[in-house]
Amino acid sequence: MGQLPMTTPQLLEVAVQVGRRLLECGAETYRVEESMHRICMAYGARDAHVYAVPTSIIATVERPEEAPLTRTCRIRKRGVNLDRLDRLNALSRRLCAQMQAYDAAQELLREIDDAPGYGKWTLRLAFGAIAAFFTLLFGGGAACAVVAFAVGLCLKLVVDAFERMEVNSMFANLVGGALIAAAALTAARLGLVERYDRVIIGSIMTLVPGLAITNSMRDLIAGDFLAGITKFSEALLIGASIAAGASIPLSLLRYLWRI
Amino acid sequence: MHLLFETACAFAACLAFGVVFHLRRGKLAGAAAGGALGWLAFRLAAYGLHSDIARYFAATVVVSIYSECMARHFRTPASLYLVIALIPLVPGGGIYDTMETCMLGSPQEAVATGLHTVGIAGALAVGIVLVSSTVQLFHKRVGRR
Repeated sequence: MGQLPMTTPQLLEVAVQVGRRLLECGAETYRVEESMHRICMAYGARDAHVYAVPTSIIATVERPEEAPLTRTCRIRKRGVNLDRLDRLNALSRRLCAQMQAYDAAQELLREIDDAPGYGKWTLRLAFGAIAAFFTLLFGGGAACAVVAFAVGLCLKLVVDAFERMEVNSMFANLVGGALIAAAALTAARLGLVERYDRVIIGSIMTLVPGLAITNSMRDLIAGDFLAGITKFSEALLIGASIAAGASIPLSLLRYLWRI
Repeated sequence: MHLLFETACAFAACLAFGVVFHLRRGKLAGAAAGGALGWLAFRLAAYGLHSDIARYFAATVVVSIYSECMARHFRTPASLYLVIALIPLVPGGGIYDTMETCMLGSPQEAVATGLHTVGIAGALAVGIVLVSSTVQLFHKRVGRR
C-alpha cells in the first residue's frame, strides 16, 4: 500500500461529498450509487457498498488490511440543477480515470459549487415564459398567455420568498396553487381572459411534479424501491397540495362572482 | 400550420424549463428541440393510434431515443435531455381535471380521471425504461459503459 493518494476516511469523504451533491441536484438513485461505488473502487477499495435514498446516503468502504469504514449523510435540500449534475458526472469520471489527491479533489468540488448559474431575474422571466407557452400549447389565446406570464412571474417571487423562509414544500405548493387560481379567476372577472382554465393549467405546469412521478417509477422499475416510494409520495403530496390550493379560490370565487 | 405553432410553443416552453433547471446555455437548444420533437410525435401519432396512452408511450419512446443519441454524442447523462424534453408530455391538465371533477362533487369521474393521469405517467415511465434498458444492454455487450 502507501501508493494510494487518499486515506480511507478521505476517500469516503470525497465519495460522500460527490454523492450528496448528486442527490441534491436531482440525480437518479442508481447514478448516485454507481458513481460513489466506482470512485471507491478506483481508489483501491476491495469492496464498497453504497445505499442511497432521496433523503440520505449510507456508504461503506473496505480496503485490504483495513477495518471497513462507514459514513452516513443526511440530505435535506433537493432541487433540480442539471448543469451541476453534468459537472459532477464529469468529475466522478475524472476522479476514476486519473487518481487525484484529496486536496485536488476538494478543489474540484469547490469549483463545481462556485460555478455561476442563471441570474435571479432570468429565472423569474423563465417561470413566466413556461406558464405563457404552456397556456398557448394547451389552447389558450394571446391574452391568456400574457396573463399566464404575469402569473408565472409572480409565482416565482412567492416561491423564492418561501424558500428564504424555509417553508415546507407542501404549504408552498398549496399557496402557489391558490395564487394561480385566484389570479386567473380575477383576470377572468376583469374580462381580460375568457378561458381561465387554460391559464391555470399552463401556470400549474411550473409547479407540477410530473417528472418526479416519472422518475419515481423509473426507480421502482430499477429495483430501488425505497427511493421510488419516497419520491412517489413526495410527488403525490406536491400534486395534491397544488390541487387543494387551487380548489380553494376556484370554489370560493366562482361562487362569489358566478363565473 | 397549427401543428407548427404548437411545436414552436413546446420548444419555447422547454427552453424556459431548461433555464429553470439550470441547464447550461450550450445544451438548452438541444434539450428544447427534444421537447418539440416529443410534442410533434405525440400529435402525429394521433393519425395511427387511437388510445391516447399509446400516443404518450410512442412519443416518450421517440424522446428517449433522441435523448440517448444526444447523450452519446455529447458524452453527458441522457437525463439532462430527457428531463426537459418530456415536460410537454407531463399530464398537468390531467391533474387539473382530476381536481376539478373532484371539487364538482363527482368522485367517480374524479377517480377515473385520476387513474387516467396515473396511466399516462406509467406510459411515460415504461417508455423511458424500455429505451434506456435496451441501450444499456447493447453497451454492456460492447464492453463499454
